[in-house]
Amino acid sequence: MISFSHVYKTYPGANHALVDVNLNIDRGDFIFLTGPSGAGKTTFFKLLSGFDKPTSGNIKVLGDHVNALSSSAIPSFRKKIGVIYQDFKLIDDKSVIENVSLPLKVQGAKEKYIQKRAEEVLDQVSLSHKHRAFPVQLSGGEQQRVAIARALIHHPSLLIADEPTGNLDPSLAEEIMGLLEKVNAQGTTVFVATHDLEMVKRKKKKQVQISAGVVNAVP
Amino acid sequence: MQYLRLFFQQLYYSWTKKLSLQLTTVMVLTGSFLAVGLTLTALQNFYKAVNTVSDKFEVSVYLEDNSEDEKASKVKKIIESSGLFSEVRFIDKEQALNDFKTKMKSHIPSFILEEKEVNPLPSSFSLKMKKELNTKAGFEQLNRFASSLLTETQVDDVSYGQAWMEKYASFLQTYKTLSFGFILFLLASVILIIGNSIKSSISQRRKEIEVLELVGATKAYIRMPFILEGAFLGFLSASISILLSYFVYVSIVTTAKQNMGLLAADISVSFLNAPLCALMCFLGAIVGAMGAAICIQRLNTGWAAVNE
Ligand SMILES: Nc1ncnc2c1ncn2[C@@H]1O[C@H](COP(=O)(O)OP(=O)(O)OP(=O)(O)O)[C@@H](O)[C@H]1O
Ligand SMILES: [Mg+2]
Repeated sequence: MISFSHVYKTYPGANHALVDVNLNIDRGDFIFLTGPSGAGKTTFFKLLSGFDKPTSGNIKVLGDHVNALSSSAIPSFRKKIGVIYQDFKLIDDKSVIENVSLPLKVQGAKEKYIQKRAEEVLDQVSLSHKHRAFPVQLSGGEQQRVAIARALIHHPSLLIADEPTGNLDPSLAEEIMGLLEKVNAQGTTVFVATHDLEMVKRKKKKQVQISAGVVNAVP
Repeated sequence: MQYLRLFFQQLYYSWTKKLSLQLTTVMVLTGSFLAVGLTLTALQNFYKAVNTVSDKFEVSVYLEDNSEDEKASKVKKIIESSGLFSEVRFIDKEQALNDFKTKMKSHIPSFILEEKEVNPLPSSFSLKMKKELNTKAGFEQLNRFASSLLTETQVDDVSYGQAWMEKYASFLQTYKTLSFGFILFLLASVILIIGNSIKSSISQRRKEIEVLELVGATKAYIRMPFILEGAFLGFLSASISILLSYFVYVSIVTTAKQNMGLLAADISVSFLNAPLCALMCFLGAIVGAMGAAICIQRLNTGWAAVNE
């Protein structure tokens, strides 16, 4: 379902962010990606989600050769995944509900269905009452939850979450983790980057560690 | 349908968030299209004038005073076999005199020609040139034919306002070439102006475009609103410019008629016909879409990171 083979990512200035990454993830897994700041977690997710290309190596996700996708094939790949970005990537002049609806809008889904799903996912992240607000009117944690709702609205097969609870208080963080587990239970593969080692221990899920660009699966 | 909604959204953004830039753009574009419209109007009227004049345009071949009938028919054969004329009419001395009298009477009623005098008018052929020969090349052909005709012994003179018609034909040719060059130049600048306006729309929404890409929007989804915006700018400006050029046209014609009096009464001018107006609006839309299409070519490759 996810396979990395000999993947390297080197940023300009010989900055080796990922070094020879080899990894296989099964469908339906729940995986934590851990590692210190600057280890390469976000870089790893950028390659996984087709946001950026690796310097070398092969990446296969959901049957697509992500590193070799043509620009016209990328949209259909993106429709299969949901991504929660570390910097949220919300559109400032669109309301919460408009932001959340975007993945279904670009697919040309029916307005009624979009409305229904948007309300559902906003309810799941406990933000129904703010659906008319604009991102600037929200706290960091609220923005993060909008980003989570947007990543879930189109029922992706793979959910990639880059520190989805980084801005949340412990009880809200627990709630969101619970939501991600529920999504996982429905069959979505979930990949979560986090600094919260306590939680990783508690959840007893699979874990992939990354340190200075070197990736190791924790047994 | 979806694109239409996105397009209206894009229009709303542009006309609320950068109103003054939009207005400036539309004004400059309207100015350019105005120049295109007036150039075309003038061209259309010059051509119309050529047709009106050439309807009346006649070539007269005057025969020697004592030429015999048989020789006249030889001249007629030469004229007919040239293939330049659609009508060949013989006017003998008597008829020429009658024509002359009636003409003079209508101008100066008291004019009376003394009957007993000798008829000084020669017999002649009056020829109408074929319509399709109303070109520079056609007139050159006519010139050659006229000089060859003059070598015939019984032909006294060939007259057809050579110089004037020739000048007009070559003026028209030059004007046509120049105006097409001018229009091309204007259209090129229109493309640039619209391209720049679209570029500013894009940079205004750059972040949003990235997000759209990341949630799986296709190239068409992202680009179409900008292309439609470009087409709209072109169409709008072309339409406004047609209205404006109509006012310019009317005021020029009115002043001309007032100041030139009788002279103007004979000249009939007209505004761009409906098909040409439609063509201009259509052209505006096409050129606008082109301007937008050119500047969004590198807009999104699908790889958000690679765009940055
Ligand atoms: N666009 C970029 N250009 C150059 N270097 C980059 C770029 N993005 C990341 N890097 C470098 O790559 C390395 C890994 O960065 P990355 O963002 O993947 O770390 P991270 O594990 O997500 O850290 P954090 O936990 O702080 O989010 C860092 O050394 C960083 O400086
Ligand atoms: Mg990171």
